[in-house]
Amino acid sequence: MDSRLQVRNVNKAFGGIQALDNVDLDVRAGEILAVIGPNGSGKTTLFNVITGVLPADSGSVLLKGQELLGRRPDQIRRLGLSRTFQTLELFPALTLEEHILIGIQANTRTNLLAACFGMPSVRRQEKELRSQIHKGFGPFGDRLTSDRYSDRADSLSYANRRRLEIARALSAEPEVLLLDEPAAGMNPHERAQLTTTIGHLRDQGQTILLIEHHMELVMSISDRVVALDHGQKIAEGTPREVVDNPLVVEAYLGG
Amino acid sequence: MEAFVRLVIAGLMAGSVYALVGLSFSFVYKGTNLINWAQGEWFMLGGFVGFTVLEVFHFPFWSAIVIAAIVIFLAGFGVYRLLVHRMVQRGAKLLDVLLATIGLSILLQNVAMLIWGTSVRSVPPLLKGTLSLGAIIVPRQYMIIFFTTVVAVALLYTFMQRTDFGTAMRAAADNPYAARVVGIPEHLVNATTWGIGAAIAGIAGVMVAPIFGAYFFLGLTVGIKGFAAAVVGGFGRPYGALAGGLILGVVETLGAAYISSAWKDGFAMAVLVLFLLLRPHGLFRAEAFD
Amino acid sequence: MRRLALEKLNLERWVEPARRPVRYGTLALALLLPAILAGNNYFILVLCLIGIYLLVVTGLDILYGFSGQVSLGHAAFFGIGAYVSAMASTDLGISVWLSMVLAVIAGVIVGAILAWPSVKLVHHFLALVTIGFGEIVRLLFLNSREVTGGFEGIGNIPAPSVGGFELDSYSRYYYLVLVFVVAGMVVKRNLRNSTWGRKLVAVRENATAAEAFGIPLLSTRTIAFAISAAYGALGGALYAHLISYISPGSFTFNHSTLFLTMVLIGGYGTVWGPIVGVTTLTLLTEYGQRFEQYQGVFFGLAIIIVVAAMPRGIVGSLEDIYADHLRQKSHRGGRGATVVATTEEVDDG
Repeated sequence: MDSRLQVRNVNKAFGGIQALDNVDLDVRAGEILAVIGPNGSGKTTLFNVITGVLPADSGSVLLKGQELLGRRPDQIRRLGLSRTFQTLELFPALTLEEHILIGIQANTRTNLLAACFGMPSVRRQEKELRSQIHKGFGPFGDRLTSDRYSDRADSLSYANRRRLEIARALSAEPEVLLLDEPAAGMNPHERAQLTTTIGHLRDQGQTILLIEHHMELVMSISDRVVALDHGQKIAEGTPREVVDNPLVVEAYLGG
Repeated sequence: MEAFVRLVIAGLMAGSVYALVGLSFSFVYKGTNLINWAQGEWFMLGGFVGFTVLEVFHFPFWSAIVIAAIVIFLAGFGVYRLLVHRMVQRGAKLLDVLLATIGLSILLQNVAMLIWGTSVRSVPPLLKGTLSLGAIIVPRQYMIIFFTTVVAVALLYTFMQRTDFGTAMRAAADNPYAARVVGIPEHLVNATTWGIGAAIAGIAGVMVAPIFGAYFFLGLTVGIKGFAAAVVGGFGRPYGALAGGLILGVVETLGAAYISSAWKDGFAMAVLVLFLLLRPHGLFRAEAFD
Repeated sequence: MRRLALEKLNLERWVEPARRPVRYGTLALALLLPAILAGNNYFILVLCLIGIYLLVVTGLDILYGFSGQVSLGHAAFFGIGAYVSAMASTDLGISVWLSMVLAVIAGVIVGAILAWPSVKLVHHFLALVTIGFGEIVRLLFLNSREVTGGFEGIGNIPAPSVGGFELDSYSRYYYLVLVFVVAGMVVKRNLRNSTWGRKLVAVRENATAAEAFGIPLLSTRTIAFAISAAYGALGGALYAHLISYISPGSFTFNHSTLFLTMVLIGGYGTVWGPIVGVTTLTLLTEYGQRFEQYQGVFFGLAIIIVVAAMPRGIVGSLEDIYADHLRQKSHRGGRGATVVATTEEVDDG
């Protein structure tokens, strides 16, 4: 088993509430692992802990053998993890191409003085980066077309914003891509298209950790599923196994 | 020893003023999640209203307080209704309102200068004469200031926690959408909050005018120190503003007397900067980080 | 309806080709101004001041316009640059050029030291720190008689020389200022079009997302501060050697507010914004002496109106209108955020 991301015994409490209770999971190379659970079960908290937005109380998260807990989000990004946000965190006044450039440039370093004085090395680097913009949009390039590259993000339709959010995360070429409810707010048609696109990404080798509410999405493309309830992992396995698990059924239907 | 006590008392008096102005900042922030930079100017205008009522119309002092409270309440209410409301509806954030109210404070300073001139206007006190506390002599006006400050803080706190309006105010600040859904007229509540905040500063201005005089530039210095007081105590916390103000006032007065009077304003600034860098959530813990 | 009318105008037909000529034309005009205005020495002095303020405001724009941080204490960096350069060249007898270099270094160091612990604070607290800092620095200038001359300031500050050629007239000094202004603006533009520039604006637009995409918030913000402090200090040094006399009264909170207002009115984050902002406000203050009492009222009103109704400032608003226009023309369908599916979505389906 080639595990890209290992979450071990992660705990996180807020005041008296245990948001994450000894959570353990593995994301294997080239798979889509979906995390499901009712509202408040700790899914987004898990993402926030993995990506360094929130500190964990205890446990360990390893990416390619490197410990992520205790690091800042920007350091974690540079180690190879990239994410989208449930609430959409775009850069409103920045253009589409700037979003992708920010995604791509995360792996580069530029000398500040060289940049200030417009040195040839910096200009070359800039050209390099810009040549990769089209590639950076990936599968979303058919919607986020080149005539739109200079449009501001806040002028996009809702669905296109969602796509931009994912494209940006993807352009960073992460080891593991974290998608937090990527289809939230989309209509069924858009959701179906997105589902297919995400499936293709996995087929091309991208490792994906996915939080999702929509069961058809989960069922149709996930390789494995983990179910959380009240911060605890209550089930793990293939989509069918997890969905049929009585504990999971009760978590969704019960109190 | 006497000198020291006298200084401390003077410091407490100045501190009470800072506390009241700081309270007005905190109140507006707590109620609307916005900052009105011009609270110091409401204070300044309170002093001028007091001057006009007392020296121009020769009405009695208590009426000066009432008139100042009403006039400045209306001014604060008006600023919200005419300016801030529109900005917020267009999606303005705290920073934008802060910048706009910086413009407002400059506008008000200059309008005051145009109306009342550039010289310091003196105002007769409510309670003349002095009080003897053992060997210490304290102007009676100080007593009023202390009294007003403590009463204002207690009243405001009770108002926010115990009354319907106060609850409505906190609800609107906490979750504007939900407040609207349950029928709270959010913008009316916010405008009233701004009005009350302004009135607090204005009343402080009237109280203190007999001691400092009415002067168009006063709002700037007192405003910043009032803001500092609120921050030191924990921004948004009424009792914090009281504590912060008193501390600031005493430190400033003692510092000016024992260390250097040239640095008088610097002490408050130093305390402010130190707190912001080392303990930004203040003494009573408020939100401070991005 | 207004949009249709604008569309028909085909704005881009004359805006695009005009860009370069305007840029170079302005530069040419700037180069020729002293010759054109020969004889009006006062106006040339005003031009020098415009240039100096432009340098400071460009730096402040890098801080506010790019990284989104409010500084209401920038007069302090202006002052630090002025005093360091003045003291080095008068008390220590160091050459003017070296003094200016020292001034910039001092600005950068102080800026970094101030910024490092402050940039983690929310906007309004950061603004407060800068105010407190500005006041403390001003009091330092005022109360350190032995070092800074206190209330009386420092006089007889020498003018710089190039080769044997002394820049002791306003016209000559003007060209010096112009060189630095052009350099400063080129650096700002280079910055914006590089990875660094994107890092700065990303931090302004969405700090959470910026961090999630590899941008370390604290160090990025601190660097923005240090750069803008360098600009401010350079402006201060140029000011000191121009006027040859400085005192604490030139580096007050009002000056800091003035600088920020220039950024806001002109338009933050743009190249021309500071130019428009500085020029209009400086000309107004210098030539509006008759209306001196009303200046403050106008000033306050201007800030309110710009922030409330034209938050992108004059240049920014114009750029927005133009950008909208371009987008209207390049694809069908509406602009603006819609939560419901728009025409484009349905058509693509």
